[in-house]
Amino acid sequence: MSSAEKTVKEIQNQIVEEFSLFDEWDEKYAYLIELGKKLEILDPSHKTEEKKIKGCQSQVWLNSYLKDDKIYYQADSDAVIVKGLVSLLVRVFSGHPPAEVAQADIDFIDEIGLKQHLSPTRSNGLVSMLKQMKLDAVAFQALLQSKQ
Amino acid sequence: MLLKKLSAIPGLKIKGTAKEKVSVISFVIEGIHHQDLGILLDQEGIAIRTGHHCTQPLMGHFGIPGTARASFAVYNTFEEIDRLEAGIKKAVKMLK
Repeated sequence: MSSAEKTVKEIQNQIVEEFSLFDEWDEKYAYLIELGKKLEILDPSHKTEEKKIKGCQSQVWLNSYLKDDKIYYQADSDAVIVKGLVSLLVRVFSGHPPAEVAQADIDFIDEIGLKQHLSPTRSNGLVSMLKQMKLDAVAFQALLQSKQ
Repeated sequence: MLLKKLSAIPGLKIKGTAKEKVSVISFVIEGIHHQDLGILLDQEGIAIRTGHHCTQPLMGHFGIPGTARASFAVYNTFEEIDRLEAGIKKAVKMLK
């Protein structure tokens, strides 16, 4: 995938540009719903209690793995808008060195006007997911360093 | 009036139909996650509550992960019932 050659920041900029095409809130959410429906299916073997990130309202499953020293994520959610947001995070973070992901700032969600979904008062699992993605990156970073 | 309007929406099921009940209506819509519905209604300026409302045993009894819930009070208007109905219909269209 071409996104693998871009940096985390560049992919975020690309997403901000895509969302700038929408003038109305419903166009933006229709796109998120479409992204959610298109998200690559998470293998049922990963939909375990252990990989579930619990939220009050919706659930998110997250799997991460290392390939050629780069981190990749797969995820799923039972709510489609959350799944759309999840797919954006997967797109931004997948295919990068774990150290880059661990240190990356996530500002595109704010820039595309969806910040309310990441506020800590929204117990929808998305905040916990972002935290878990970073933790996984830190863990893989440590693993890579121990191999050197 | 609200009950009639909501019940007419395809796939919508009201949860909790006791004869004597307060002015809250809990409901689920087939194939639609309550949180998605809540997010879209929120964008239209309509505030409902979604989730299991801290009644996990009751949700377990119904066999559902949660519901959407509209609560009405003395200050709500008939026009707002119409807006809720239209908002739900629009959200269902977007999500299906």
